Amino acid sequence: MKKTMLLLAFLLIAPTLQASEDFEAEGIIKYRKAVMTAIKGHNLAIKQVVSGKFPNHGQISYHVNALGDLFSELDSLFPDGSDFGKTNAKSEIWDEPEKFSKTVQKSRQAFQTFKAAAASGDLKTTGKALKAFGKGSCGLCHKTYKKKPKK
Amino acid sequence: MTGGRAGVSRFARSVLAGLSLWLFAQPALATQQDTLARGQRIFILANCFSCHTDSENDGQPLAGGRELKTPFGVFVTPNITPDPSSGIGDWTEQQFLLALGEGLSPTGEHYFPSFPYTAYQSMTRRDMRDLYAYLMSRQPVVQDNPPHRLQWFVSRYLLGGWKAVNRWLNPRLTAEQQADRGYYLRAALGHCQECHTPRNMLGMLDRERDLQGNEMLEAPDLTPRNQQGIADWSDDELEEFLRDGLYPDGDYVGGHMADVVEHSTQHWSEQDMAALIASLRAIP
Ligand code: HEC
Ligand code: HEC
Ligand code: HEC
Repeated sequence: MKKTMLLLAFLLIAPTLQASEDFEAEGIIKYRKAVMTAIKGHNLAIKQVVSGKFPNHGQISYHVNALGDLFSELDSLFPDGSDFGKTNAKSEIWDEPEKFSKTVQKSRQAFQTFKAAAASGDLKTTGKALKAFGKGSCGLCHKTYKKKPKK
Repeated sequence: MTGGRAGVSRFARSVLAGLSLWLFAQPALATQQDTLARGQRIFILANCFSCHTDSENDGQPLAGGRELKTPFGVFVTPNITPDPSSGIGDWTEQQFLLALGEGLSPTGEHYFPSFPYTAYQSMTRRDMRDLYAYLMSRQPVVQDNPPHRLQWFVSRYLLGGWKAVNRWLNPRLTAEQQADRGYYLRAALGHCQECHTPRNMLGMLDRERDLQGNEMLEAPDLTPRNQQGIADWSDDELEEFLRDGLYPDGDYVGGHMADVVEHSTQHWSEQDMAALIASLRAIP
């Protein structure tokens, strides 16, 4: 009797446990994508300025700082259990965590190099560095860890 | 006095001899350098580097060891540096042409089409020769080839039949097609169809649906049928993608295409890039 009750209780609770975990993963994935979208926005904004299509050069440092803040958060975007659901992140992130954190490390280095170039205030230098930053961070990480989104 | 004159004329003669030697040697040197420079361009256009280098594990250039995961199993790429024992250093030019042009090894074995000779077989002889010269000028690396890890039903012995059927379905480019630079770049050297064209159950390209996308490889449809694809991009945006990996919407390229951009298309000359884009635009 006691056992049956326990089993019943378990059966009743288990789905909610499952559901709350799913809910958490879903929230994390949504947040992760939103951060990536924010990163993309700052990146594109800098690109507009350095290509001479937006006159206010002072804005660059604002976007560079924002990118710095967002990049400092990169590893916390991929907690265990956030590999399922509506995500385009590849399972290699969780299968080989040391390799992934090396990639995060390299991405941050690429950002620091870009930041130093942007501090020069020269549009041409910044533009060149922005391309290298795109390849050395966004490109580098997406190559191994991001799937093509389904349209 | 006479001795002096003889000395002068001997000097003059040796200068003349030296000069003519130099004159003869000069064009030979220049063509050798031209060949290597051309070979390097072919090497980049055909992206030999990315499959034959285990970049992810800091492998030596062209020493192989990169794992290609496919439904047929895991292929491990071989060493194609000029090391004579573990690489292809003891291959003759003829043997190299046979590998690229026929998918045959020096001992007469069939290669798996995970080595895209199905595209490279349409390269011109001259491009193959220059590529051979370039590869032979690279740094030799001693690194033995690990075996592939294939599914039980996959065997080299079946490849003869496969190649015969495939050659019938997907014949080599004609001389006319080779002369169309943009088409030659994407179909023979750049081998875009190897990922972007759907395949039949036997893994052969479906020519009727050239470049219409391969879902399993996540490679999108590059034809105007795909309205959310490059049909919607400007030529500048397409070039920016192929050079920097940047999508028009600000996202960055991922997966195998990131290798293509990193080791191949970003380095293409202006003319070749323009020819490729024109050729993609010409798809109905
Ligand atoms: C350390 C790894 C890493 C770095 C660095 C990185 N990304 Fe990402 N990015 C990812 C992963 C993984 C995803 C897939 C996330 C998902 O679907 O859960 C992603 C997704 C995206 C998306 C799609 C978001 C969505 O709504 O689906 C965009 C856009 C993007 N990244 C842009 C960028 C840009 C621009 C940069 C560089 C400035 C960058 N990323 C740097 C790993 C990275
Ligand atoms: C898509 C990946 C890929 C690309 C691109 C590629 N190869 Fe390979 N290559 C392979 C694989 C896999 C094998 C092994 C095939 C087998 O064992 O049947 C191979 C085998 C070879 C061999 C035979 C080596 C031996 O020891 O028998 C040569 C030579 C070679 N490739 C040269 C090239 C050249 C030159 C290029 C560029 C024009 C190139 N490959 C591009 C995957 C690739
Ligand atoms: C080794 C496989 C492979 C080869 C070879 C290859 N591609 Fe791709 N391509 C892909 C994949 C995978 C994607 C999706 C990239 C992503 O996830 O961001 C892609 C994406 C693209 C896109 C973006 C299309 C869109 O609608 O978003 C273009 C354009 C493209 N490739 C052009 C080419 C051209 C041109 C060539 C030949 C020079 C080529 N590709 C060769 C695998 C390949």
